[in-house]
Amino acid sequence: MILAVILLLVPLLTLALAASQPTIAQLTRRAAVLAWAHLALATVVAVPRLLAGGAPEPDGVCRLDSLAAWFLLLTLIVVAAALTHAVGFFDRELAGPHPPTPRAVRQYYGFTALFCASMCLVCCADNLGLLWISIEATTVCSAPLVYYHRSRTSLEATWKYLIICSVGIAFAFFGTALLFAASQQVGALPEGSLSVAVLADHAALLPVRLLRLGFLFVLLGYGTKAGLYPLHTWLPDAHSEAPAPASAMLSGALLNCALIGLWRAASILQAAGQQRFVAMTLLPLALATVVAASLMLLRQHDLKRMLAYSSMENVGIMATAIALFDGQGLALQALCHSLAKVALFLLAGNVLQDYGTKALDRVRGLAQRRPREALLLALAVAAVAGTPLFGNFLAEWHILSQAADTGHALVVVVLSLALAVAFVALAIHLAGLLLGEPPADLDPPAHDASRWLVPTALLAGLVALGVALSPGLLAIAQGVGQ
Amino acid sequence: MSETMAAFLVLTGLWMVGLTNLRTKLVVYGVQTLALDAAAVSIGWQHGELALIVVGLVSALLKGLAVPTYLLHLTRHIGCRRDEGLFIAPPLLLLLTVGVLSALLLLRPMHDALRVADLPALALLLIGMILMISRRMAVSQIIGFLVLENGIFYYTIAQPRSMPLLVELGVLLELLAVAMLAGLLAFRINDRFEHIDVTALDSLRD
Repeated sequence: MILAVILLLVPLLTLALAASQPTIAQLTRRAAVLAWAHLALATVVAVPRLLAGGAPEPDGVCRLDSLAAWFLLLTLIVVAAALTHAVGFFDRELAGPHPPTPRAVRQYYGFTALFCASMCLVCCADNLGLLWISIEATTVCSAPLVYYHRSRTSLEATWKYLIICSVGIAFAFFGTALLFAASQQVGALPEGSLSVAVLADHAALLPVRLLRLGFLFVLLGYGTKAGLYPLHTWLPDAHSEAPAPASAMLSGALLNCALIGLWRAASILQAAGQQRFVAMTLLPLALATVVAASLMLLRQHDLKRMLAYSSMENVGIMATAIALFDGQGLALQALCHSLAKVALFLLAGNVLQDYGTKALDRVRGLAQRRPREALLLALAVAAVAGTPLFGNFLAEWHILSQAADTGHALVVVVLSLALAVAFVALAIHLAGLLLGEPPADLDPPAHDASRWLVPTALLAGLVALGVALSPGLLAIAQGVGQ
Repeated sequence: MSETMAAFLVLTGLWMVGLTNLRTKLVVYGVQTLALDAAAVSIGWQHGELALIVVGLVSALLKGLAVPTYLLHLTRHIGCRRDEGLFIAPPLLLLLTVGVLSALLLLRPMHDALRVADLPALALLLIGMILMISRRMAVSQIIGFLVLENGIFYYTIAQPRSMPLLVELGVLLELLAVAMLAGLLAFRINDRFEHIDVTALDSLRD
């Protein structure tokens, strides 16, 4: 109960703020402060749980276990970073050639608040029904964020996002209903149960066929939301059309939420001794996602679509970790990918505001025009591609070695090849972006610390994770899988 | 759930597959949903489950009346009356769908997990999918999605125990939100493109 109040109070304040007709400058600044207050509150609740490990007694609704605490903090870090950067972002938007209406910005913040609240619920939900409702709520609340630019292309992206994800998630509800039906066939649970904890406790008694069928539909549903190949078609559109802070939240927080849904369902199957079934169904999808995404990365013409495909590739890696029941790998990979991708999407938003385009063949000479941001962009791309020195390398190494230890040699080979292809693709596109002569018709660059402050902080965090990933943090991540 | 009711629901679903007139289709959808909700209420009455009665009534109000009325208003406002379908003409599609459903009945896939009583749910699920992928107009896609949801609702009420009340109400609320949002977007698509043919939304690609 206290947990729910903490989780929902701050977003409600932000919503009230957005509705109370402030000026845009006031709104963006206060929302950023509120986001940090939210993170501080969540830290008070979540950090003791992470340090102690384990999980509290289930009450059938919400349950703050280690996984929930980890992803709750990660989600709120992403939201706080995005909203902090949004202060400068909206200042520049208002000064730019196509300023948004105050109404559009207020709507944006209102839906961001609801979006953040629903993501917090996803992290903490123990009830499969609540999990489903909150994941569907993330779709409904983030679709208006994608529509922010009010253009033809953003309309197209929003429509596809809403319809494809809603249909996908409808299948997840069918899967949830199947799991509920399975629980009714257990003598000890005459009323049936939707609680993940209760289902896992009684997993050995659940009818296997129904359990497997339920998992398949949940996989289909939450897999669509996570962007697993071939259900990913909405992902590059939505991520590239949304404004930078929203893209950062979609990629850095929302994809994790879908993966949490998959992990919860998989953990029930694991408790029932069906690890092989999960691996047989999820692993091929995960590998196909990594391979398809890295091949699509090669032929990109759009900066933000390129980043979206890179997210898809990382989702594939995280889904591999889920299929191998490697909670530590999942937690580390999600953390490092989110930090790097948020930095990247925020920097890409700067580029779009600066050059007025995100077409890769028209953005040239960033190194000459804005050396500091060019350096940050290069470092962030290196991080997301899994180069040593950054935490991403350790996380990916962890998952690869886990796959090798459990005898999945093919997984290791396919992942390594795909990662190499993705690295090359990203490097080629990045070189084109940084080198060359900037177009002559651009205004001279103005110095503005709000452009690079948040990305710098995120990258510093990633380097800290990579160079000094402390045994303490590793132990905490270890606890996430249990 | 009586056999007559199950047959009625599947047949109204099939009827929608064969229809090209959007208004008629919306009315048929409304009738189907109201019938399903009536079944939910009667099952709730027989089993003494208050939750199911409440869900049935709320669903009748929202999914059976509010959503079709809203979508009817939308079609009238946009002036979009017909949806001739994509690739396959609706009458032929109807035949194909009947074939698929017969195969479903004869082959009984997943028969060790799903009972015979669950098959109409699977049929409605399939019909919803077919409605979604076979039509051009935004409204048709929304209807397909709603029929698919009817299939899932059928499955939940055909079980010995229905889902907890709060979960069912939450799901209904989400469905309402999706339908309303999709309707709003359809209005915007009409303003921007002067049609609601969503197959023409193809400018975003790699």
